[in-house]
This record gives sequence, C-alpha cells and structure tokens, in this order.
Amino acid sequence: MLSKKTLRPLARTDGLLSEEVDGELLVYDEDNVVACRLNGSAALVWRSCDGKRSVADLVAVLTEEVGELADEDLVMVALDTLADHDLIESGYQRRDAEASRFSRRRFIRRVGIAGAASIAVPVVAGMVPPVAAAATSGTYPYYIFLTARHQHS
Amino acid sequence: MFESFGLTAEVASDDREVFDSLPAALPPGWRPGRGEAVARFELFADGRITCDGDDVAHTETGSDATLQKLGAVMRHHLAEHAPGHVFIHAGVVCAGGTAIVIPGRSHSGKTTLVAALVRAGASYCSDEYAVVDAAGLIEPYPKPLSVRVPGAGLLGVPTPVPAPQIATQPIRAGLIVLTSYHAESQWSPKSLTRGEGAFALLEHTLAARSRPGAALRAVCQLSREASVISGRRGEASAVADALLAFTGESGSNQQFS
Repeated sequence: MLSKKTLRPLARTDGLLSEEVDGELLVYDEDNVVACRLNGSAALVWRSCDGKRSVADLVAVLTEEVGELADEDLVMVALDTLADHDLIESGYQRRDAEASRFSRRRFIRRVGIAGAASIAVPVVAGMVPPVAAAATSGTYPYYIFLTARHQHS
Repeated sequence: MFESFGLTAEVASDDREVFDSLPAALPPGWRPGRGEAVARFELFADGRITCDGDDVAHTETGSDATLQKLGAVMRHHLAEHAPGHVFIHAGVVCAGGTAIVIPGRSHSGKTTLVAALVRAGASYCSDEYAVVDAAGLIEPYPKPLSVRVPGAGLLGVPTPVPAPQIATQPIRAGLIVLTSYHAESQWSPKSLTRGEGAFALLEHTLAARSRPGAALRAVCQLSREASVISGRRGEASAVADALLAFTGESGSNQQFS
C-alpha cells in the first residue's frame, strides 16, 4: 500500500463514454457494460486525477468547490468509490472496506450530514443498462446498485 | 412500405383481410416510404409474426390482439433502430410550453397518469416513448391512448384524445417525474438533481447498450433544463393537477371521451 503522500491517482478514460449535466457525470463503461452517475464531488475528484496530483492536491481542488468541507477523508472516500467502479487507472489501490467506512464516518462526524455536507459526500451510483426489451417491459432485473466492480462475462 | 422517424420498412401479410388492416398497426407518424426498406415485417395467416424472416411473435389468428401485437413489434424495432433518434420508455404530455416526461416500466401506472394529465388540460404527446431528436427535443409520438383497467384485458380501453389536444411540435423537457402507483400513497415528491434524472432516464432507454453514446447524450440533453421530482403516487387525478401547477398550467379537468 502506497502512503497517501505518494499516491498519484490517474483516472481511467479508455473504454469510457461520459456526458456532463449540471456538474454531475454520467459515465458508460463499454468494457464492463455498466453505467455510473458521479455526483458533483465524485466527478470533480475523478476529473482531477491526472496522475500528477497528490491527495493533498485533490483536497485543494475540492476545497475550491465545497470550501472547508473538503478534507483528506472526503478525497479518500471519493477515490475508494471511484476505484470500486473501475474508474481509476493507476496510482491508487482501493483500501479495505473498514478503512473506507472509517473515513466516511470521520467526515460525517466532523461536518454533519445535513445540507451542504450531504451534497459534498462523493457518490457513484452504478447500473447495468437494460437490454432493449427490458427497457420497455421491465421484466429483466437490470437495475442494480453496485457496491463493487461489476464484471460481465 | 412506410417510413417513420427516419426508418424505412415494409410490412406484408398472406391474408388479404389482414393486409387491408395493416395501416392500423403502423407506428405513429408513419408515411408512405420510398427507397430501400431496412426491415421487413410479415404477419401470416397462422398468426406468426416475423421480422426479416425471423419469428418474433405468435398470436391467436383472427383475434383483436393480432394487429396490436404486430404494431408493438414494429414500434419496438423502430425504437431500437430509428436513426438520429433515441427512444426512452416514458409517457409525455405538454403543458406550460414544456414537456412533462414520466419514465417507467410497463404496468407502473404511467399511461393512467398521462390520461389524467390530458383530462386536466395537458396536450398529449405519447404514452409509450419519449422520442428524443438530435437537438434534445421530444418529438410527438401520439400512439392512440389506451388505458389498462381491471377486466379490460391487455389491450386496455381506448381513450380518444381530441385532435387539438394532440401535440404536433417537438418540445423541450421541463419536468421529469419519477413515480409509480402505490395505493394509499400521498403525493409528496422530493427534488432530485438533473444528473439523477438523466440516470433514471437511462434506465428506460432502449439504445442504452446498443448506442450508449447517443443514449447518454439524449438523456443529458433532456435533463439539462428540466426539474426532476420523485415520489410514490396515489390516485392520478390529484397528482395531475399538482404537476400542471408545477409547470405553471393549472389543471382544468377538461373532459374527453
């Protein structure tokens, strides 16, 4: 495991299509046939992962957007969530679930979970896009919120 | 041969009586086609329906459902393959100069809400697909409105809409409503982000896998200027009035037979 000081996460871009709406991103992963929605803070962190910025740099980027709510915990939670959805190419390895939960709890303890704080929490929602027939009939169980990288055979 | 939303197809039958009735099964907005057909549908006297030679459905011969099934097959094919358009399974009405888009699966109560909105004064655009063009506008797709009611079978009860109340022009989305019917539910929607709205639309987009780039563009364009609300609903009429009030067009409970 790299120390936080040496982490230089690089966002994955190969095999991905993305569209922005109001600061959020919809991403379609052609390799894994998965669609994701990145809320504003997750989108900002992902876009800023250029393989050069450190975690401290990412905190600074996020601070410009959400002010003092931004801290290292928030960035680490974002990176874990992005890595869960296979959106990090290199420079970061997802921590174990307990470490991620600890960061999230510590962030929430610090700022609370109401109002602006809840908006700042990075969210990446995943969905297996429907095959055409399912989009019409709803008979295929395609809508799955993913908690871990979803692989398709 | 017919053309609809840029797709040219031909339809045939070996049953003369059925053949004469085929226009009733054609997709909304169809017109006589020219040039080369890219799809061929056939309805046989034994009830088989084929698309490009492949069996895709079978119905009871002579039943009222035969043409309905053929129509559904053709509309679904169109929705997947119409060039330059993205089809999202949704009901759409127009009110206050914008469209109200209600995505949903079959049997989610979408058509009932569309009918209630039309009764309350909205213009009818579609009860099946929001057809999004390259500019992000929703094109009219006025399939005859038919509301499912208990005991009326799968075809539902035809619910004619007066011609002046049928949308004729492409329109931008102003409100996306994520809802489904739950008896006893009180309408108390919460606001969602446009990103959440776009993501929800993607769930109901036919080309989400086959043309993901176009699908993403369409759902984002559609959401870019729209409000997004979500909540369970009870009876449709009260919700319809609330939605029209939201768009600035108060419900008038106009009647249509």
